[in-house]
Amino acid sequence: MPTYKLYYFNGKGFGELSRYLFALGQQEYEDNRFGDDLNWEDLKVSAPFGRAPFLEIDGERFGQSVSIARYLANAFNLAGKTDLEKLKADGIDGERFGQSVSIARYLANAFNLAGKTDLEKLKADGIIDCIHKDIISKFLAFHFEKDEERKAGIKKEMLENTNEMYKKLEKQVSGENSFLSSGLSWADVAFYNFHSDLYADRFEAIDLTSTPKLKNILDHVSSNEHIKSWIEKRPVTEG
Amino acid sequence: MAGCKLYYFNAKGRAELTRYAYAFKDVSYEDIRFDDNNLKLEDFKPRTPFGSAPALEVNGVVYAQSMAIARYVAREVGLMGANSLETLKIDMILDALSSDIFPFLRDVFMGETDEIKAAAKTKAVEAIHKIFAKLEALVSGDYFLGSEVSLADLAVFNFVNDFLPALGTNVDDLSKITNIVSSLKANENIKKHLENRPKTDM
Repeated sequence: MPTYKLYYFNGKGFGELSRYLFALGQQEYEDNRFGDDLNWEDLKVSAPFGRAPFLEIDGERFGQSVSIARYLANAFNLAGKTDLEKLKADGIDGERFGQSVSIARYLANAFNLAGKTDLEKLKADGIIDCIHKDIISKFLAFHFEKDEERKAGIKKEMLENTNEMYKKLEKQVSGENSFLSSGLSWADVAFYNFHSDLYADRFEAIDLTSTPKLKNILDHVSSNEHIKSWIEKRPVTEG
Repeated sequence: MAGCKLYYFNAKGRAELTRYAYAFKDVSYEDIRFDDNNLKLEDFKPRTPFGSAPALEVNGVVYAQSMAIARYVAREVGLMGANSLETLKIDMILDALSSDIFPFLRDVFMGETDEIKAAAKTKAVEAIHKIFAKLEALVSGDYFLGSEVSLADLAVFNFVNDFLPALGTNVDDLSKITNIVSSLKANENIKKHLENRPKTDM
C-alpha cells in the first residue's frame, strides 16, 4: 500500500471528504495541516495548480528514481524560490496530485467505495458533480458575498435551490440507506459532508421529512463506527 | 457500448468532450440533439436525474453530468489511463479545467451586461494562462501520460480548439500543449469528426 500524505488547511472545507474516506478505508495517512510548523506559502509553489488540498503518494513505481527536486524544478518552474533541499529533508517523496474531488475519487476507488460496476461509478460521479456544481457552488457564492443586500437575496435563492436539489437527490437513492443499490459509497459520504459539515448548522434546521431517504443516508453515514471515531478525534475547527 | 444515446443541444458545449472520446476510439453511439427529430429538451427533462443536459442513456437508464459522462465513456473506450494513479492524474487535469477555468465562461458568454462579460473575460484569460502554464509542466512525453492519448489530452484539445478562440487569447507559447493540440488535430479519427460534425457557434 502506498504511503499517503494529505496537505490542507486546519479546517474541514474541501479536505474533509478525503479524511472521511481514509477513515472508512481504515488507511493510515499523514493528516498535514498548514500552520506555524507547516507554511502554506512555502508549499504553494510546489502544490499542483498552487491549490490545496493536495495528496502525496509514495508508490514504488514512481519510487526512488524520481528525484523530487528534479520533478519539482521541472514541473513548477521553481527557479530557486523554494528551498528544495529543505523539502527533501522533510521526507517528502513521490508524486503530488491536486483537486479535492479527484483525490477523493481516487481514494474511493482504492477503498472500494466508488460503486461496484462502471454504471454505478457513473451514477456516483453524477451525484458528486451535482453536489459540487449545483449546490456547493451556490452556497459558496452566498458565503463570500460581502454586500449585505445582495447577500440576503442570494440566501433566499440558495435555500430554494438547495431544497429543489435535495428533492432531486431523493429520487436518486436506490439502496435502503445509500444512493447506490450495492451499498455505501463516496456519494453518500459526500452528501453527509455537505449537509452536516457545511450546511446544517448555519441555517434554520433543514426539514428532511419530505426527503426520508436522504435522512436515512445521513443516519447511516453518521452511525458508521469509523466515521464516528474520526469525528471524535479530529481537530475541532469552525469550517 | 452499443446503443448508448447521448442527449444534448445542437452545440459543442458540454457534450463535445464525450463526442471526442467516442470519435477518437471510433466507437459508435447515438448523437441526439434537441429540437432535431422533434425531441424537445422540455419533454426530455423529466427523464433526467437533475433536469440538465447533457445526459447519457445506457440500457434505458438516463445518467447526468457532463464530466461524469465523459469519464464513463472514456473508461469504456480505454482513455482513462492504465492504472489508478494515471486515472488520478487525468482526473486532476479535468478538474483543473472545469473548476478553475470553466466557471468564468458562463459570464463571458451569457453575462447580463457588457461590464459583467468584460470582467469575466479578463478573469478567464488570467486563469487560463495560470492554469495552462501548470498543465504544460504536467505533459510527460507526447501526451500527459506519456505516449498514450487520454481523456486529459482530449479535454485540453476541446478547450483550445473549440473555446479559446472566442476568448481572444491563445496558448501558442506553450510548446508541449501546442504539440498535443496539433497531434490530435491531425489524427485521422478526430479529423473525420471535425469534418462531419454540425457547424455550431458554441
